[in-house]
This record gives sequence, C-alpha cells and structure tokens, in this order.
Amino acid sequence: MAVADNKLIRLFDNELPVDEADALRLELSEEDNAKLAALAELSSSVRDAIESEAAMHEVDLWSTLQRQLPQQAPAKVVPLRRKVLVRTTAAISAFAVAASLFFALRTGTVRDSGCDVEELEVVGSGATVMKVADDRGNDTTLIWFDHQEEDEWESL
Amino acid sequence: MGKSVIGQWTWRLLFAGLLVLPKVAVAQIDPPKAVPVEAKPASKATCSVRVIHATANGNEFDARLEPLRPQLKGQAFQSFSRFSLIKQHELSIAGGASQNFEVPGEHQGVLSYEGRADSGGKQRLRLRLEIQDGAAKLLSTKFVINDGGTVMQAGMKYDKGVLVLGITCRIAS
Repeated sequence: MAVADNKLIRLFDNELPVDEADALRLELSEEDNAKLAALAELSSSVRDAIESEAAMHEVDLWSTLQRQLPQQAPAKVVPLRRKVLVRTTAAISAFAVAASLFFALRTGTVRDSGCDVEELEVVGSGATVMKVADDRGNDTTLIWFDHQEEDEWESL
Repeated sequence: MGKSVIGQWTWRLLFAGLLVLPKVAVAQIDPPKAVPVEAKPASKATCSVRVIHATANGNEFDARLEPLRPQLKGQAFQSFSRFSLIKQHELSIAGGASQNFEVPGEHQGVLSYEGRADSGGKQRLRLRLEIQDGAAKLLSTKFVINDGGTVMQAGMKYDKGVLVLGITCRIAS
C-alpha cells in the first residue's frame, strides 16, 4: 500500500518522530521510494537555483545598517602606559602645588612683621629706619646704623 | 563616551590637591577682627638671631639665609653681593628678661622681651635690642613686631663688609 503523499513529504523533511519515521521506512513501496528520490532531486534543483540567484545579487546589509546608525566620533584609545603616566603626573603636580604653597606659607619664612620702632638711640652720626619689601609685598623693618670708627665711640 | 577617563582622573587629582591649600592658607591668615591693645601676661619669647656678613667680594649666597633672601637681595643691600651666615643664635627669653648673644668684632648683643603688645587682632611682641662694646652702648632700640615677624639691623663694619642682624621672634607660651 502506498504511503500518503503528505506523510512522504514529512518523512523527507524529517518532521516525523524517529520511531514513526523508522516504521514508515519499512513500509515504503517502490513507488514511494521513487517519489522520495524525485523530491530529493527537486529540492536539490531548487537549492542550486536559489544559491546561484543569491550569488548574482549580493546583499550588503552592513553598509545599509551603518548608514542608518547615528554618527559618532571614534572613541579615543589610550595605551595603558600613557594612562598611568598621565595619572602619575597629575598626582605629582597636585602634590607639588600643595607642597610649594605649604612651604611658601609656613612659619619658617619671613612674614609681615608689622614692626613699629618705639625708641632708637645710637652713638655717632645716626641711624636710618627703612622698610625692605620682600617678593610677596611684605615689609621688613631695617635699622641701618652708621658705624663709627672705634676712637669716635662714646656710650649712650 | 563624553569625557575621557584620564581627563576625569586628572581633574579629580588636581582638585584634591587644591583642597589642601585653603587649610594651609587659612592657618596663616590673621584673624580679621580689630581689637584694641590687650594687656597680656609677658609669657616667653623664642628668637632666632642670624648674624650675617655682607661683603662686595664674591657672589655667594648662604643657603641658610634663604628666608631672608628677598630682603638681602633688595635695594637696601645692593652694594653687597656676598652674604654668609656667621652664626645663628636661638634665644629663649622670659618676659621682662634679657639674653646676650655674641656679635663679631668683640661686640655684644642684648635682646630683651618686654612682653606682649597685641593689637588689631594680632599677637605682637615688644622687644628691646642693644648692641654694646664692653660697657659702651652703641645702639639701643625698642620695637614691637608681629608674632613670627622679623626685624633687621645692619651697618656695623666688619671684615671688609658689614654685619647684618636678622631677628625673628615668636611667642612661646
């Protein structure tokens, strides 16, 4: 008895459960086998035709997709060594700025003296009181004492 | 990526460094309040007296004089090109007391701390400086300076140059 065409097609397409397909193969007549062979030949012809057609019309999906994507600047790629170097430089620079200001402002340096001379007595020809400015604009008082020769000294 | 990772880190680190500065700067700023002269106990003062030899021979500048470089390299000392530290005296002077220090040329310096003279919201010290030659008094001056301030005295001839005294005083307690 010939197997129904729809079952043959499902067998050809491997759509039947394994046990059913095995049982069906045992029942195939010569006519059924001829139909299967014809199906195989037809399938092969169709596949070849489609492939040759596709080869003639190459589809470039990527270029189309690329055109549709929003334009972006390429990301910067920085080598790890340079990255570390930049970070280190930044850290050292920050430390150097802090350190230099610390040393510039620390108590060891001369600060604005705000000096008021209340009394001044010298022997000899006299003395001059002047303000000496430093590079930060602070004044330091300088008492310049005109030194006398030894034999001219006399006590105040 | 809108901002590079490196840029972010650079700014973070610089920002962290700058955060340190206001603390340092604020520590140096005097209180802004103006207050009248206050009577304070005499306390104690610590003074550094730098004895400097200034001459016109040579161009050396003693590295230990760096804190005074702006003053020594200024117009007042333009006749001199070489500055060397002969000695630095560290004096601790109680209120109302004096300390002697040696001045080259067989002279003697006497620094007296006469007490606090705070004004304008600033801590200030009243001091007297005398330079003696034996029993003879060559110079006597009384002055008031800010806490940590410096006063300079110069003009005494010494070894083809002059002597410069740099006196920096702080309130110790």
